[in-house]
Amino acid sequence: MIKLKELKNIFTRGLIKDNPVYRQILGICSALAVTNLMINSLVMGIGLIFVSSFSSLTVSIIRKYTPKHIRMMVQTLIISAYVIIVDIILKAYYPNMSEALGPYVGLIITNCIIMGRCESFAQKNPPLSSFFDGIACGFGYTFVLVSVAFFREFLGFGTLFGFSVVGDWWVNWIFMIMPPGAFFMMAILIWVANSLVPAEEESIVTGGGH
Amino acid sequence: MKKFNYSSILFMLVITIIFTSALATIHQLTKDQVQLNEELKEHKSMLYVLDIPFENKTAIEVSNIRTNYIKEIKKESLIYYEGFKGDTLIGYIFPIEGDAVWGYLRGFISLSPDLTEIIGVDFLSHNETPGLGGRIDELQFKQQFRGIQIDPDQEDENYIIYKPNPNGQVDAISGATGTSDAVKRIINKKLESILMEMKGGDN
Repeated sequence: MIKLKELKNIFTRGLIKDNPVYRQILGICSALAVTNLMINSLVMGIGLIFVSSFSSLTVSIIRKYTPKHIRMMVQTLIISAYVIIVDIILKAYYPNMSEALGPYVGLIITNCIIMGRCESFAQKNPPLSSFFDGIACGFGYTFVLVSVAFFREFLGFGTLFGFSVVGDWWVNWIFMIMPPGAFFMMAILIWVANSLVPAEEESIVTGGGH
Repeated sequence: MKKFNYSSILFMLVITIIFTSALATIHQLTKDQVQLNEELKEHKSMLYVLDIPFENKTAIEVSNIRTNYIKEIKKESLIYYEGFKGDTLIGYIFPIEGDAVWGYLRGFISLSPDLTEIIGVDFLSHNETPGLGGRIDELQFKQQFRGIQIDPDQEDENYIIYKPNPNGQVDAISGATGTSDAVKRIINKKLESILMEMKGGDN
């Protein structure tokens, strides 16, 4: 069984110390794309938590039997399968949400966080810790998405989760809901996050993501 | 060079078969539900363009109205629907479709029986950016098309005009000029062909 201390460790790393977006700058594409509405970001995050946890679990279970040189192919296949499951479930039971997210659900496949976790963690660790690692990183990503979306939706539409929170006097910052707004907001939040939680040591993570 | 071995291919093959069959099973299990959702959406859309309220109705009630009061008509190249209230014809529904900014757009437009007024416009599917072009789905935009007068003898095809142009009836979506223009183009073109065909039929 997985130890409580290890579990705690996995979650602090996924959420704060190695937060996939703020620290590792992974998954930036989708974080920029879907963050103009909070509800979209939340559902996207939940989808990602599901995909990343179960992909990590599966990759970890079969890690000892997977021939090393085709492991990337296997990982991609596993990830795509889970993404398609999310897409089908949304279409069948949450048609409205499926419409709102449109093509972005399918794009979870290209999210580097999932591939990154499969490759760097699940490939070397037992199934249960890999599963929790997937959940932790998914949460880290969701947290970032929702926080970026909070500012963008609030400033851009004057609403939160679609509910109006300011009066008629509010002038929407159209800029915030357009793509450049995402870059500015994301950069500001990464700056804030890195000032609040300074990196303890030289990061060992190399390379950027999509 | 690495030694080529068949076990990798076999492994990949086995795992592909496992996952594909799992997906196929899930797809089979949810297929009916997905189709129901799509039909329901289409039915609701038809009621919306005819301005029949459906917010408090269940899925079954919506489908009943669709089967009992909306009739499909095929006339040469034109497929359209006649909407009834009781026994009186209250409007025609025409499918609209065309290329928008990011992909194909489909929807409905409904006209009064004398073809001089738009009763409503709705969009069924499109790939416009959520939050920008995707806002054509919002009531604020769609409601503007209700009650727009059409002059059947108009020379050009500019039936819909965006404000602040002279005689404009509709506010476009800020930040989504491309999508707004595409919607206008698709509707105007459809209106022109509707008026041509329907007039041709009367004579």
